Amino acid sequence: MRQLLAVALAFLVLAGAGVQALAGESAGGYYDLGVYAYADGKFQEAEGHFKKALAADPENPVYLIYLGKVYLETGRYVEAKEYLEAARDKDPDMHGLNYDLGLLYYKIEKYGMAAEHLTAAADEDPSNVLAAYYGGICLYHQERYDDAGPLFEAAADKSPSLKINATYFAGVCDYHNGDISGAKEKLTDVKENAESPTERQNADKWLAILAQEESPRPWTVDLRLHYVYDDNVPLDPTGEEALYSDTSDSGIYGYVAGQYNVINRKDFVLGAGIARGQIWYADLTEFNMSDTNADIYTTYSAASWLFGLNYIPRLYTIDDEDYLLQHQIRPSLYWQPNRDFLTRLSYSYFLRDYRQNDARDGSLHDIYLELFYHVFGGKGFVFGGLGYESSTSDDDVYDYNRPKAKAGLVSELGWKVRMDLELYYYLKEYPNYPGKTRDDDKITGIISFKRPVYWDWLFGIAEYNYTTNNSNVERFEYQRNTISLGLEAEF
Amino acid sequence: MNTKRMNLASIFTVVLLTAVLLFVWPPVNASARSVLPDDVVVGDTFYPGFGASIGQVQRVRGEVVGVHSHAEIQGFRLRPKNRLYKNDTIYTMEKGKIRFRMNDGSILSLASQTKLELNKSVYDKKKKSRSSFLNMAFGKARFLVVKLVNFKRSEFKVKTPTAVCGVRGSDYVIEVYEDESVFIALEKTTIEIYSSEDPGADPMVLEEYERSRVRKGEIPTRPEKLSPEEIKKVTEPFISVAPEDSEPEPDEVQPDEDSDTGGKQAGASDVLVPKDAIVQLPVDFKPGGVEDDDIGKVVKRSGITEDRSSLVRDDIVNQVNEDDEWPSGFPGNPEQ
Repeated sequence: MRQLLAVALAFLVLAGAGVQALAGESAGGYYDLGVYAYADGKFQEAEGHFKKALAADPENPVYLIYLGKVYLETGRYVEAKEYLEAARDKDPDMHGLNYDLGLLYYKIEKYGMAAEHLTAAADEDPSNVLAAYYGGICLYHQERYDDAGPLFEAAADKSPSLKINATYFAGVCDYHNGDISGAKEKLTDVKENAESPTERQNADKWLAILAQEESPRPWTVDLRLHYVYDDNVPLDPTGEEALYSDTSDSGIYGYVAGQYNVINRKDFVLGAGIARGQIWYADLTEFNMSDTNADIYTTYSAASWLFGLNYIPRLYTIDDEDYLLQHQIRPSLYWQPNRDFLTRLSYSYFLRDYRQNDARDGSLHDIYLELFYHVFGGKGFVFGGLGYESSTSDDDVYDYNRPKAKAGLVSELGWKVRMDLELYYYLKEYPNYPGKTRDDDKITGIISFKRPVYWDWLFGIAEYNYTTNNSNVERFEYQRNTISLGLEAEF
Repeated sequence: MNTKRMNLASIFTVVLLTAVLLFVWPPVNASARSVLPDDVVVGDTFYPGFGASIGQVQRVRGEVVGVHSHAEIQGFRLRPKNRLYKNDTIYTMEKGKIRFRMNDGSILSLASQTKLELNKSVYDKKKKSRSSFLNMAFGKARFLVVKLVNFKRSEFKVKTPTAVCGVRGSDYVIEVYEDESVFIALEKTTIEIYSSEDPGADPMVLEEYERSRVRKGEIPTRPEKLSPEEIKKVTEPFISVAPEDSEPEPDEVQPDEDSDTGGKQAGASDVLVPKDAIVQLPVDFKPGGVEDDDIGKVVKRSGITEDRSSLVRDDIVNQVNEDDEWPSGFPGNPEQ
């Protein structure tokens, strides 16, 4: 019995010692062998060693990083993320961790987080050219070209292997940042020195665009042909009570315009244009209308400012008879502090000669402030504006004041479809209307879709327009819906 | 009588031969076979490896060949000032010796007929981190490892076929033979050794002027003290590791004009990367969204700043109706 107890006791002691031995097993040895296996590309073996090291010392951030690196190398990104982030939680300042995390996020296309870590890695170790390069690639994916450019330049500067490829990307970033000469210099370097035909060809394509930017084409031509349907065409007044009869009619609208820049510099443009639009109604031909105008213009730009001046003589005809001859002078001032924001302040002075009603002859002052802002990552913009018109006529019964506002959204929808959504508001006051002041407020909403059709210069257009005019003089109230379908060619 | 003498002579001969085989014949080591792999072609032109340089050659005697990991069959004869890179392998040929310096200041000296691979060497002063992993396949090497005080992380490991040795700051020698590795700690040195077969075991610790052997499949032998004569003999095969002896002597290989650079392929501080690390450009590429970047161009192209023809027509039509409602002077106001 005593012998049995002695054996049992010895067994227990030995078993306890064995457990103790396991718990106290050195992790360092497994870690070392894991590093050597990792360096040899024997990732399965390395994984085994690092797991044993972690079993003995689960809190060690170095072991966590290395196991994460093994998973990163073998494409097991979920596990890699788990271990590398655990290492970061234990010691975010470890050598190489920013680069490993950056590479992981890059592989799983989380470009924002990748860029953050890779940029930090590049700052920590300027000789880590791949950190700078991949950081630039991630920022490029995010269209953060002003941040990506310097990283590509740093990578190109330090690494002959990366020089051409990084210079290409840096050149494209320069283009997007508005540095056309910098872009041209870099992309020319790529075109002349790249070994890869793909790099040379791509650089060449960008250089063609740059050539156009530097010397844009001096002329444009615009052609439009629309079918128009109107559900509430105003009647030719014959003494009827209602001005708007809810009678529908359809018509064809045609438009042709061209302009030519006599001086066509990037900072200074001087040119002239001419345009004519005409609508023919099917039934209410007395409302056939044409609009013919010339446009003599100049623009001057410096830094973020652009000043424009237009002189626009215009003749309107109704039913082939001259209706209104108008001279317009319009100075405009644009301010664009960055690529996403634009504002315009314009003032127009109109001198009007109504050919069929001399009492209306007079002038109009129109001032407008508009703002434009990029949205949806540059794929669209929102706009808004406030304006004021003041019209005076020989007979003051026609005088009016008209505060106005507009707002809208223009955006690419996908499949190359562009959508325009616009809202206009007018508050028109006739202070000298016989008997009392006439007040009209009009709201117009427009939605249109435009898409290239077969060629890049030919577009299909569909537009819907709703207008409601409320007036304290009932006769002038109306609602109207119009639909327009057509083709436009832009050269 | 004669037969008896002949038997004695035979026995004596056999014993003598056996003694020679056991005690005189040197241990079998890799020098008995070719140091370089058969398919490696050696040239004189140095070319840089991938990544940042991790060390630099200081002195070379005889023929020493370097091979980058990404070009395993293309070797080059090393000269002073040539740069060394991660995963480089160094082969010292017969009568070849080399001394080189790592970025952390550690000096390594290889005797002839030695193969050493530089698996990893990171030296980050800002983050106070040093991590070096070397793999010694055969031969003899002496290591003067800089002790980095106040570093958060400092490891310097050398692996042989039978063991791994780790130090923090030391002067020591490793001799690798076919069946065993010998570790010798020199002045003011403490090194830890464990067998590759049992990495979980507590390491054997060698103090100053102690030696341990690790045979294949066995744990390190107990440390044994070296005599002064043995210490002197152990350090004889190497170029000096004294920091002041870094310049080549007249009878050694001299640097050439391109030694300090990437052999004309790269500047001294240039960094090369593998081709598969470079993002390839698309083949059928159209620069897209070019004009969309600038809001000025986008707004101009949209035509949104021009008066809409439908709105202008509406205004004109309203004016026409007003004309007919309001003859000059005064119209009849239906509400009056």
